[in-house]
Amino acid sequence: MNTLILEIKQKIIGALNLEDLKPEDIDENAPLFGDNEGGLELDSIDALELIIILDKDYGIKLKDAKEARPIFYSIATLAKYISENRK
Amino acid sequence: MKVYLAADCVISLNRIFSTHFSSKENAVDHLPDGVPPFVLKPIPWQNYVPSKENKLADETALERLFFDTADVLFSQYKCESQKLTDRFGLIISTTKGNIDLLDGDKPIDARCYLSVMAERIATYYGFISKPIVISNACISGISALVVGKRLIQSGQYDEVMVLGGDLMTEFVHEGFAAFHALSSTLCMPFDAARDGLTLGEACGGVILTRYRERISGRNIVLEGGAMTSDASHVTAPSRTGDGLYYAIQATLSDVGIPAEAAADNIDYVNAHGTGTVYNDEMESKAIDWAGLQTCPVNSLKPYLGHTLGASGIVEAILCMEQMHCDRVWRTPGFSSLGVPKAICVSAHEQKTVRGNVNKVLKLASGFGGTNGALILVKEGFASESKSQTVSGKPVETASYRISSEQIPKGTKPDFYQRISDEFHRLNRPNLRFFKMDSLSKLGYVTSEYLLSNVQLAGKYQPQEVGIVLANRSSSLDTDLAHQRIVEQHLPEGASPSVFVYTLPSVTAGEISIRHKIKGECTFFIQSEKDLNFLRSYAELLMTNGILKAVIYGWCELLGEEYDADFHLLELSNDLK
Repeated sequence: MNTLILEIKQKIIGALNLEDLKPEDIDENAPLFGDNEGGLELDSIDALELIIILDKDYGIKLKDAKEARPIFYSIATLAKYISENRK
Repeated sequence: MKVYLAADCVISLNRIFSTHFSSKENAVDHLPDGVPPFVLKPIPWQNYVPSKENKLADETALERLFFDTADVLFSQYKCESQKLTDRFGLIISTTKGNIDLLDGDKPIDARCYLSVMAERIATYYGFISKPIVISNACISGISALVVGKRLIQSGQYDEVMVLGGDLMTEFVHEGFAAFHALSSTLCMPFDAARDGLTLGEACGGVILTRYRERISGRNIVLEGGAMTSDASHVTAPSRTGDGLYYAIQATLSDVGIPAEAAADNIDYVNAHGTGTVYNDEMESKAIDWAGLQTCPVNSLKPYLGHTLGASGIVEAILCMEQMHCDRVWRTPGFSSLGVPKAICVSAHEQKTVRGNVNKVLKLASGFGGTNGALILVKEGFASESKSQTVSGKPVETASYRISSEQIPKGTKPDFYQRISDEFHRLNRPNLRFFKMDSLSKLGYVTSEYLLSNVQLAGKYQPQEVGIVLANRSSSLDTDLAHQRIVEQHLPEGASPSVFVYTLPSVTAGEISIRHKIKGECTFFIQSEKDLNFLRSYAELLMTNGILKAVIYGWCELLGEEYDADFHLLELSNDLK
């Protein structure tokens, strides 16, 4: 699981160009979206990029951002979903 | 001084329309495949056969549309002189211009530069004045009309041809697909089942004039207009609708309608109504907030699709037709209201509350968080424009420049290194910076330094501050990146975070978000850096009482050539 969490952090940093961040700077339990202390403050465009990562790298197809909302809550929820659904 | 819409023409998908066409009985509905006939019925289209002769040997598809539209406009306009003087202006509104010529593997075709395209058109007709290009995302058309009107009223021009056009291209289609913004059916604005927009392509044009005697059709006046910025997000519209609401308020105030009397004066609202969930939600809030709940509202998007940089002009012309018939057309696809505020979306063609369509409010919103509104009115109902008196004159209070000219060619640092260094030197961490494209990073960092010793927020209301920028290459730097992704035809599609920056005005949007600037943000494209023009337009906004402070300047980037040259203007009386 920890390997997957690290991998997801690296993919997010890459896809969203968060180049000032290192994986260890990201708290996997902090909310990814919204204006939260310690979170990444991601927005709707970032959500679309995450949908692409899921599709491309894990073979998981999400229909839209609404369906993705609970899955994208944090890195930890995302990792859990990927480990259960990856193809 | 009243500014009239003297000539008008729309060309879209092998159909042509003008309110000046007399032989309406011969009108045909030439339907593109897959579009149900009922959808197009209210518009008396005629068959459009593109002109046989090329005006230019290497004429593009979009230029052909511009030329054919301009030909119709000149044929309608009663101007005895065959020669255009420097009092006759040309404004072109487009988001992507000749983007169909962009090839990810080849050097950029010169015609992809919007100012080159504009100059090709201007030169053919012999315009003496330099053409003005506006690329303001989906409010471009409204911006172009409002800017044209202001330049006539300020005395720079007597008449202005305003042309707006955009093509339906793979470039644009793949971008909107990446946003999951495309409708699975023909778009259904304001309906509960709506799920996105339908793209269209069109060219629309009008001649704005101060000369009443040169009108051959109906006497419709462009009475007023305004643009604002949400300062909240680059793609998602404001959650509250405040930006569009401010644009409506500023427009009402521009024509002397008291805010509380909106519904007593406006007969019909033509919404942007793209059919995306968030746009229509936001618009309903702004319309409701403005007190226009009882006013009939429609969207013209199901008739023509979303024609992007042309839409403001094209739809304004179709509003003129509805004014002539005193009917508000239906919104095809709309049956049950699916927006949070109970506005009167027109499901059937109808008369208005007062029976006539004398005064129309036209709205638009776009990426970068821009909003625009304008009011069209039958001549007899137009108010005399009042001239604002502003105390104090505009003075420059700050400037800052970041340019590749400051660094010897071929030496380090390259742009990427330099802008990152400059950003870190600010010591104001912001993760958003890293998500931006190069042009936005350049504009963002330059504005940070420009305003480092200025407190705009405490001094002005957010709506009192605006941005007037220009460049040569539009967003071509990022357009190339998006085009290369599109050409790969990846199974996962294009990248939304790249596509969002394929509009130069998004750079102004990023600056407005950072500094909470909610006034007008306008992005011009120029063939070369012309700060005098930008300054005089910024001063016009200030002396007309529209804005109290303006960031104006040049914001150009293509590869390793970049130049951001920003200036801040404030009114002398506000400097204490």
